[in-house]
Amino acid sequence: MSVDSRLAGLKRTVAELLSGEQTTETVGAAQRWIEARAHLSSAAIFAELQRMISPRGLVEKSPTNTRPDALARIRDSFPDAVFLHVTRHPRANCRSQHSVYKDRGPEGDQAFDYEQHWRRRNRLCLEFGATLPASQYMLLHGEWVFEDPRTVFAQISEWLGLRTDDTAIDAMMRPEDSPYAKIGPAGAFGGNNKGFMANPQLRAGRIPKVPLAGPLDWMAEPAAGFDPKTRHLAHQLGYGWDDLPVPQDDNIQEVV
Amino acid sequence: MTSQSNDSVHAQMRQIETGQTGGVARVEQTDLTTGDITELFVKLAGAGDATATLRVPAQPDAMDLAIRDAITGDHPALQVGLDPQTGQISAQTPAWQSAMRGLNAASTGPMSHFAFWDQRLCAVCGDGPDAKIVCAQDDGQVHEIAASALRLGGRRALTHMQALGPRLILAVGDAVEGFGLFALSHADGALTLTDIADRGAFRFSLNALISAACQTDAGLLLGTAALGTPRGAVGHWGPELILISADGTWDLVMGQPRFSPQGLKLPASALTPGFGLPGNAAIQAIAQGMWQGHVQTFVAVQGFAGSPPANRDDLRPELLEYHGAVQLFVSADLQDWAEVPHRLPADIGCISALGVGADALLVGHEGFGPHTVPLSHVPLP
Repeated sequence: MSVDSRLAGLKRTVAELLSGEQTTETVGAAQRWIEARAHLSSAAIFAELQRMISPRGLVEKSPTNTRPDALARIRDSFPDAVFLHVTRHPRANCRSQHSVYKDRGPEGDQAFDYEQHWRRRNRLCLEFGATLPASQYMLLHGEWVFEDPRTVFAQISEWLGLRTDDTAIDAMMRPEDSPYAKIGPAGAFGGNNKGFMANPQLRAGRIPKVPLAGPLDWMAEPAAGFDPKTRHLAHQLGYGWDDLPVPQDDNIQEVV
Repeated sequence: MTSQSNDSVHAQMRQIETGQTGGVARVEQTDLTTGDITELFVKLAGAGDATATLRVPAQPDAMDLAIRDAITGDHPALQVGLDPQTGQISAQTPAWQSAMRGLNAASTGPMSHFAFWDQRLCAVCGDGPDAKIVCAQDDGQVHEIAASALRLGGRRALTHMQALGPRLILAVGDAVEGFGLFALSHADGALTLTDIADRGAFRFSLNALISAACQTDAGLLLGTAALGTPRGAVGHWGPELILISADGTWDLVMGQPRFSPQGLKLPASALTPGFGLPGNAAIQAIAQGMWQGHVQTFVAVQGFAGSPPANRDDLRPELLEYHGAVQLFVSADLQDWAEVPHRLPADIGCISALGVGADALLVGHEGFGPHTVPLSHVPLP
């Protein structure tokens, strides 16, 4: 990934905040704004963005920040930041990762241990969470967001001290209204999750149940099942074979 | 009378009931050679010292019963018992004898727990998928309901059964999913069993079971037992305090903030789980009593000292494995907690009951020997 493509999200954000829109021209202005601050740390730039949007708050959701050094820097730079640890069932997560990365490189992803990756990332988040005051860390089943988004959004908002009225929750149910819910302009192409940009609507519905037990079928030579360490951590995170909240509405669609 | 060596009798404090002028303790004694279980009733003076003891023989005579009645007379909770040998209910007071007969007649297997609830005597019969809850009134009328919703059997076992206003609260331990909490209610002549919270109140396997319960002014205060992984759980863990209010809803007193199907749960106390100390530990006992002119809540926390569970799927957590380091805490408002200093010995065993004496906290625990009263005093400053 080039430096330019990694900065696409930042350029789009700055363009939106400086000019109220994301065009080739405003992205150019954002590029100059960033270059003028090339001597600053990421934290200093983030703090400047925060000042620009105050009293609203910034949300940082880069998966690449789930590294010990990155999380520690965020905590040290923004001691009042709150952290939401979003989890996914290890089987669904490994299958999904495999489907995305299986064709990459001459040997595909056969050498990559998705199970260990899932375990490391989640252990890291839990261990990091324990360094925070309890009110600054919360765990959330990603599956539950799709199963019952209104309930989840209301509880997240309550935790953050935000509005929980129907108008506010209705807005959260429409991520497609976000100025970032589209492909960026030339000069800032990308800058968000590709799947989200291609289809930004919230797809609420029942998540197909997947078991914790059973062979790891994405592997070239499938193991008989998850390592006991993975099973224990999955249990701690609330994943088993019957592991999702029962949805209140039986008419909702299944989400794959 | 047969003589028994100290090592051959295991004693476990099961109940401490205190009042203004003293109290009564109930000790369960197990003959490790024969497996026979007998009860020891201990009369306590105001300071918590034992002033009389009665070991109830398997076939009590009239004098045994008279002494037992005299000792337990001021404490109705001790006047109905569950015979651990037969799994049948015994009631001393005439008021409960009709209910007792109805309950024993309706039972289809050994009873494991009983509770007084809304003028009824209730018990759970069986410990598997066919278990049922039977409630008998003082007129002998009996109602029963299948307990299949509790999913008893295997790694799931009933740990507590206690009345809370119009509901009977039942707790089921499960080391994989986390405990389940249920409420039994009565309407139109029928019993109804509903969920209060499942999956360890949405904290999953870390909340393996409810390990202590106490009626308080605010509701039913429950303590949990935390059980991590062989390599140690990560994150905020340790046991929690959970309060069930009279309306059947639950909230966190001390523990891990979380989202839940029952709403956002933020603890009343600023302490993290385990009173700020992560680790495998259990809230072993809770008691409420007067101290320094206020109603105060006392809690005993104890560390895990057994073998780490190799496979949670096969695990049925035993509270007796939580016999590690002891900490005692007190609070007047369930928000601010202070540690109570103590000099309890490291080998005290498993703590199983608390009582509040005139100037001491009474700590019931394990012991060995036919004449041992496993009760220690912690002076309250």
